Amino acid sequence: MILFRIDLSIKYGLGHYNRIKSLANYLNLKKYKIIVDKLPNTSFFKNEKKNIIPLYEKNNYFIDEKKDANLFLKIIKSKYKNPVVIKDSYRLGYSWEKFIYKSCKKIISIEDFTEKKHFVDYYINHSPTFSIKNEEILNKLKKNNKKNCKFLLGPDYGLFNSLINRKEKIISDLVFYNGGSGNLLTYEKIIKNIIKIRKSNIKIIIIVGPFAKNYEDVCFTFKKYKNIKILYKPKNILSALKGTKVFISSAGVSTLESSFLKIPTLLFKMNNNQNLSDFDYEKLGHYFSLEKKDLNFSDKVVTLIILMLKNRIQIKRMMSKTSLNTKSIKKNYQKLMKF
Amino acid sequence: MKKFVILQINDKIINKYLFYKNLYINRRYSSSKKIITKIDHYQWWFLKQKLRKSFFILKQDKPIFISTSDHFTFKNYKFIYSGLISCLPETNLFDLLKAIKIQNEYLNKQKKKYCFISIDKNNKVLMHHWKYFGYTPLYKKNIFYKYVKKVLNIRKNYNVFYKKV
Repeated sequence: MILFRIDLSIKYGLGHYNRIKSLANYLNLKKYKIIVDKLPNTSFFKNEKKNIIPLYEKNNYFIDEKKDANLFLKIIKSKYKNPVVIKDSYRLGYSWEKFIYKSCKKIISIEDFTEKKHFVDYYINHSPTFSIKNEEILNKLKKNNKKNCKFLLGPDYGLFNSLINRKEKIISDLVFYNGGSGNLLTYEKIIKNIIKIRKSNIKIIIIVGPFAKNYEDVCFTFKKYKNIKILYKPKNILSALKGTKVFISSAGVSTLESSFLKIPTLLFKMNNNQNLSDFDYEKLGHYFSLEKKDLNFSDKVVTLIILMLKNRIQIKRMMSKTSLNTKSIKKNYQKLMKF
Repeated sequence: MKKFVILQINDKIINKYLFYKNLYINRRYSSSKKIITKIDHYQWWFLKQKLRKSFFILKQDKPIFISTSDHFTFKNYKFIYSGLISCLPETNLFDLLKAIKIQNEYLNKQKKKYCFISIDKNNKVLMHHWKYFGYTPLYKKNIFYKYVKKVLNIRKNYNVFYKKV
């Protein structure tokens, strides 16, 4: 049995879930369980519900790694003996892994940061930082991990949604996205200014993630604009991405998705885990990345978006040689991970 | 002998270009000393970079300068306003003069054009070298003076020099 332990909530967004779903897809996993803190209160996971196990009861919450590991061990011992555990969580690290290690066949960690200590058999970090071999970081990783740990590094192991429905394509000029739990009203001023300038001559899609708290507010704010379409909790953002000219997004997992589809993208680094250097984003073909504070200069952002729209062919050319090849990613995983 | 070669720049160096422009060595002798923000740079890239012809000057395969040439017209005259951006936080006189020489080789290949450069009056090195590359000071009585000062937004602490190629 494969057990995933992930962060999945308003606070942690959808990124960890998307990554493990992608891994499950690459490895053709049919039987697995996803262990989360609490059952997510959204219809987005309707089809997945049978696979999701909540770790904490009603009034209990995560306190520390050891207590979490204890509860996790109870699940292992009661139902799923000797499982392969795949963990994608910012809160759980070395102590948690060491605690459950003896009860598992293998432990795998999906990670974004390089500084954290681990005790796992496989370490996955798909950051573009690893596109070029960097001995210094590699040595640091080896020092922070147990002996014989296998490292699966860089976009060659990219975990993102690549399942496109070829028939589904939603046509638009711009798509705005702020991750699975991000507040879309962050872009309010920018979107309204673009409409003011381009009037009806533009079609905008706003994607509201399943954990976004203010879907109603977003609908109310943009109610009067006929050229704005709001997509709520789409199973897959690829059909909206595929049909758009410019994608404006937080710099999360969707950077890989837009790189995969080669969509001109303006990124905003909204969180600490989105703090890659320009040169790392460039490895994915993303040459336009701004800080969250730049959103305060809405007029300048609007001008830039309109310029990107006009020069999208030039940007596509810039992205042409970056290719995330899902077939080879799948092969890479299947070659290394045999349970 | 160290090898110097040129390499055309492309859009993929957009972020590196900004990094170089913001090096102190470049801001020190630039009309604007402020750090250029990414958002301003990206806009400039789409609006102005297309009109500019730029190439790297490489020394032993590493970029040491970017040669820039802005091409524009005034009445029936064709103008080029050229400059150099250092790719290193520090440079030396030999590399600088070599870069100017390479830039001039490019400019000399242009036909029937007026080439302009502006030099900060405090830049003692370059203020002594313009004559060796065939430039003449642009005086107030020159017919181009007002136009060039205005279009290129040249400040008082800069001298302008020009040559016809």
